[in-house]
Amino acid sequence: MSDIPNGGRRQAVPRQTVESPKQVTLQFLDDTWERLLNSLERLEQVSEGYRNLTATRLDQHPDRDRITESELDVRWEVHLQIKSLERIVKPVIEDAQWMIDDFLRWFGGRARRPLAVTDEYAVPVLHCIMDHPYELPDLDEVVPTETDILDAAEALGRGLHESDKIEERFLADSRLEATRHLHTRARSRSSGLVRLSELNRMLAVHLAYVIDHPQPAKEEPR
Amino acid sequence: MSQYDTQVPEAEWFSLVMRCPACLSEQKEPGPAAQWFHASDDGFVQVGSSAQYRCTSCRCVEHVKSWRYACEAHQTDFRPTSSAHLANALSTAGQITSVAGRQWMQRFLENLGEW
Repeated sequence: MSDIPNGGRRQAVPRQTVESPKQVTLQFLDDTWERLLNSLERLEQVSEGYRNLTATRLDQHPDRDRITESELDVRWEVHLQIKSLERIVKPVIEDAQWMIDDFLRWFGGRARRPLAVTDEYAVPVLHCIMDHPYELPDLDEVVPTETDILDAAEALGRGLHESDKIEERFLADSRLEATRHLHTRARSRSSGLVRLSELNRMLAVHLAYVIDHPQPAKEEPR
Repeated sequence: MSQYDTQVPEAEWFSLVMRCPACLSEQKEPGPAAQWFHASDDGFVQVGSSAQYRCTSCRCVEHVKSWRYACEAHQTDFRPTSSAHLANALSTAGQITSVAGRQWMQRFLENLGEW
């Protein structure tokens, strides 16, 4: 078996690189968090016609200006974004607590709206960023065609190369720090907590306690 | 870790014919979709419904997570891809692929286990 499992179009020889620093994972965390909230804001638009956008920084959807995807299409993306975030949160869970506060201020933007499909994701998202087990709603499946798989392989390859470029920026400058973009749609997190209590009272009470009793931050190894 | 195709008999395999992902990531003209080859032996590469690649020459089977792509326009490198790195790539790709593609990606994330 090959030591270099790479594809090429002949005469292009790969070389190996070094492992990445923690700040790279934190940047992946901020970026994937952005894309997860972006998918939830898209879900609000297709399922409720509600448009209150805060997470468009990395939006590469071909239909970003006028959404043509169905609710099911968007929900599959929400699931993929949550599953992806779960993988990124795990190794840096101690540095992910700011996202709880950010989510509550984002979720508070839904205050006074009737409960809708987007609300189904509040508990799984919070459990995901707390590295707790969570369940996602069942969705109807679509059988992928050859074209679907080839398109997905191309998109994934592009995503891997884009992730490589982020890594290279941090490897080139050891002083570079990951960003933390906020998505504030409510003045305080309390409106998010109130809405959360309608869905899962115990989780809302727990988070209110955690917020009032923050753990001291640990020094980040670089 | 590599394995051989006899160990994944349930997978459906397709010739890996696509544009250059590295060019696309750099907003360069990727050219037309074309067949990809295994860098070490020039074998034809296939992609499976199981989110693995298979070389038709050496018959090795690898998960897609560590693969990078080098077309005639540039060189690339082999990366020891971490779980977080792959997840960021999937998150990026999830915006530009079809609902079935998203399902395919989610399935292989689940198949990765605790990696």
